Amino acid sequence: MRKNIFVKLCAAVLICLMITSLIPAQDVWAAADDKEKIVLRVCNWEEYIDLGDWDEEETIDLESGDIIGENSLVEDFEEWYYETYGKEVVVEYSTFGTNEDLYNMITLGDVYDIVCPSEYMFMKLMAEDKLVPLSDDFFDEADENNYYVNGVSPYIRNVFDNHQIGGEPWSKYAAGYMWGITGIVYNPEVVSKEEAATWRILDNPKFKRQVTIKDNVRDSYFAAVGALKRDLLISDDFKSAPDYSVRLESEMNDVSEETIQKVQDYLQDVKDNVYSFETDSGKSDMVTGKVVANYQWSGDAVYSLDQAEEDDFILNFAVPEESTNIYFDGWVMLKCGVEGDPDKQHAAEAFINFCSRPDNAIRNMYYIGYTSVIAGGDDERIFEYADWCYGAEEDEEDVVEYPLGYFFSGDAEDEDYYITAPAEQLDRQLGAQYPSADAMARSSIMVYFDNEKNDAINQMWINVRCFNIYDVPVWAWVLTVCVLCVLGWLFFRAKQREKMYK
Amino acid sequence: MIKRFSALFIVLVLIFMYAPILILMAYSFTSATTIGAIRGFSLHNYVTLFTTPDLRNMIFGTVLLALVSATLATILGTMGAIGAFYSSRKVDSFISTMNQIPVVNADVVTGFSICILLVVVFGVSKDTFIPLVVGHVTLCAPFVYLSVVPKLKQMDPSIYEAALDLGATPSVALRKIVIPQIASGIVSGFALAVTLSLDDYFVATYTKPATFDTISTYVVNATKGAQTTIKTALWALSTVIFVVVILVVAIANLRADREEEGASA
Amino acid sequence: MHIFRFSRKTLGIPYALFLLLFVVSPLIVLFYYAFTNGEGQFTIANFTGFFTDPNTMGTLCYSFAIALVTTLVCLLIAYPVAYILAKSHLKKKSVLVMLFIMPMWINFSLRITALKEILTLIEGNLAYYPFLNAVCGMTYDFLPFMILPLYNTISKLDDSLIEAAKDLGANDRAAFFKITLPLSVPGIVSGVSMVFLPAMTNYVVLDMLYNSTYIMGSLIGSYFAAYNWHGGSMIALILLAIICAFTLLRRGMEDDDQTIGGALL
Repeated sequence: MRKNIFVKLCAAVLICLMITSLIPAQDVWAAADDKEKIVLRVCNWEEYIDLGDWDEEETIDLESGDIIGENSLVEDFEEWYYETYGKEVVVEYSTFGTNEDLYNMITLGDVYDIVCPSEYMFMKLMAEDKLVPLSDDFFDEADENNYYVNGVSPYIRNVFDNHQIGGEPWSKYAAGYMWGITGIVYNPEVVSKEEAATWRILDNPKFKRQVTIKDNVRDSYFAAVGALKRDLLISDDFKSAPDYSVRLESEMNDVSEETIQKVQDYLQDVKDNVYSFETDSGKSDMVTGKVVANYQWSGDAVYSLDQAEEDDFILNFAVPEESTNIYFDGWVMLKCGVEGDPDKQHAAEAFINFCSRPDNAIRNMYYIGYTSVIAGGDDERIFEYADWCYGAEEDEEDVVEYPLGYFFSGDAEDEDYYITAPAEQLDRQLGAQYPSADAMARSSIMVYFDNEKNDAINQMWINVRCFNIYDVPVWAWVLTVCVLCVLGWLFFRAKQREKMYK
Repeated sequence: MIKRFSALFIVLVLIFMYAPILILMAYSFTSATTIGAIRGFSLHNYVTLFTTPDLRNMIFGTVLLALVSATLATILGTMGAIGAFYSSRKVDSFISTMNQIPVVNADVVTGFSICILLVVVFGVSKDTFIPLVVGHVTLCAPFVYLSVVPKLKQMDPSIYEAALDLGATPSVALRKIVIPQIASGIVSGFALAVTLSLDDYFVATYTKPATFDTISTYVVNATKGAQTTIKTALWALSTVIFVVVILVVAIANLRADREEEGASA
Repeated sequence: MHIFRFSRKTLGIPYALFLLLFVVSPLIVLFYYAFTNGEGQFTIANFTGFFTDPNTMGTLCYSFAIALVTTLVCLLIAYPVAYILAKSHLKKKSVLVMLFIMPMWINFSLRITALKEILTLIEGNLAYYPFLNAVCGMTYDFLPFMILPLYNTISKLDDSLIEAAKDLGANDRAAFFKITLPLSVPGIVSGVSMVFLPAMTNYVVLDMLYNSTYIMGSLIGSYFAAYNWHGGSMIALILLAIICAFTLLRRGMEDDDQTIGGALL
């Protein structure tokens, strides 16, 4: 009998365990249903892809046809892959919040096939030999389904070919997805353009508790270095040096002990001056007017500007005059997922190509606000889209000719790629989405740091966010001591009384 | 006077606790994407809530997780409580002390240590959901234990012995005598376990598979981000939960009333 | 007789094993990690590092301050609430008590987002009052955990004791301070232990309310994010040490309490 109840209890536990195992089984079952399905595990930034479900009125009516996102791009990809290659693929799509989170997830054993980190993180992954190179077929320009290689902007191609780590160019492992620069979104009614176009706005007491900064060590570090080295960075000597861009890159990625210490001190001041350290909430705080300026990636800046415009609230975007961070988020395939599985690799590369198809690139750009690395190649729709977004109405007077040739054809002066845009757009979405030549000239990438340097700046970051014990005000110490004395006395008295009673 | 004052105090505290929820409810009926913005009336949050598959999976997953871990926790905790209660004092105090650790321990530490043990040391994949369920059971079971023990203490031990004297086997006596007497403790322990699991963020964030989100990990990530459609749909979810809970409490209450009336009549 | 005792005791074995496996062994692993470095060699650098770095020590103080103030505020709000509820002769007392627990069914992260908007409305610019925000958020989040144990303790108090005291000439105030308050100490202690540590570690509340200073919980989180298990384990151990101190203190109080109760009876 005793055994009986045990058997029952064990059975109950087992049943519960089985129910538990059913949770993942939803997906597993789907995969097990038939073995031919390829399961592609994609991990992308949050809100970094078109999820579809647009309203009718959101249709992008380009001259060469309407573009609208009905279903999510991921679903469309599954359908397209089946139609094109005759195999079923199931995408398991998940998201990450920061590059560091992604790295952490991978290190702790999460398995993905294809992920989309920023350049310094995929450089780290490359250096640690965690990536699978893109196949030769992927670069075959003759295949019309290779939208990436046929459509990528010459500028981006150049960047991906010329930057190297360990003797291998980025382009061997990574295919671009979105790119952009960092800058300051500001409310022009409160903040002047001069005040906004510098990293110094972060510690500007005039905007105490009204500015936000990014909540991750790399972005904050970059901004702090920009602010600290302001004098050097804007000096004419420095700017006119022949090796300006090389020196700029090394200055902005300076991780000498001395600089780290300075940055720590600076960021501690910034912490007492800013509204918050944020990853994404800055967008809504800017739109609702809680802050007057925030440190923003260009794509999110476009998104905030658009959102604010819906409420007839005008925001502007400024590129700091010291230097701006230019970033490239790229798709890379992980060894832990695709190695030794050609079907999967094919699906992963097809996914990159599908995202690079001009209409899909436009859908993503419209949906998330970032700038795709795709210029379209022979397909003019991307440029058309830029013109559709920012081109001036015919009756507008205050217009400028804005060259986009550097991105679309590789020739900055290419006459085919001029947009006639309202002048105010230079400080707004257009200037954020396709930065001006000026801004591009003073842009620098973040390079990958080795483990030792990485630990140093991580520790610096923790120190910045911690509360320094020397900052405890005197009254707090006095109060603590007083309270402790009183408590001790009360305790002593209570014990005495107890003794009395006994 | 004092009565009025105390009533006022209760009302004030209730306002403090319910104002945010009421605001969520009010905003769930608008098309605003952030609280604070003023937009028109709309039911789109409710439409999204009931039609988005991702959202359904997430809510379903969270509830299933809560039920599964609460069930496991209730079984383990109840068994533990009965076992410890009838064991020698040493064993009893040993189990109670261990039981106390997760109760007073910070959730962060519980989640972190389980993650370290299972994922880093033993290499259990988070995708198996084992770390997550284990984490939640560890979080909940001690509370079940704590709510069962007082009931055991209140129980009259002689009934059990009487049952045995009358020929019941120990397991029958346990089922027919002990369990019914401590049932209220088990039920409230279960309810508490479900509540804790639903409200948990920290354990889940350290132990959950990357592709799975509970409501709380989702919302916390969404406030950092601005996945607006689903975020605002969750306001609608709060409203639904709130209304359901209110209804359940009200119905339970009415029934209790009726039974009371029936008894007095 | 011998057999049935054995059976009831054995029920405790699975739970004891569970606790050993998922409560005790993670702590051992924490110990191991806290006192080793990346190469697996023994080191006390993590330990000494924590206590000599002004930043981590400051964070400890800051977390302590937040937790202390939160606990006090919770106690000041919860005690009257619990007292009024317990002493009221309302028929629907249980409903009122339910009302105080119900907010927990709606995920805390959702409630905090709404609270944030209310605070913004009152304060104008949230960022000027980071400490106040943290305390408000934590109080809001943990209040039910304080009310419940207090309510349970106070409602179990024997009213005749107070009547006896009054018969012996004590006025209301004296009766409260000499009898009700001392007798509710166990409730206070368990309420405090439910609130204090979570308040030292719940960094999500701080994050969501724009307090950018780290507390102990965020330190664990950030070490975890920087793949530094060793640093994180050390912080977790230090939190555990605080828990141990608490438990010892609690033991002492309970003993006192027993003698007081014994003397009165």
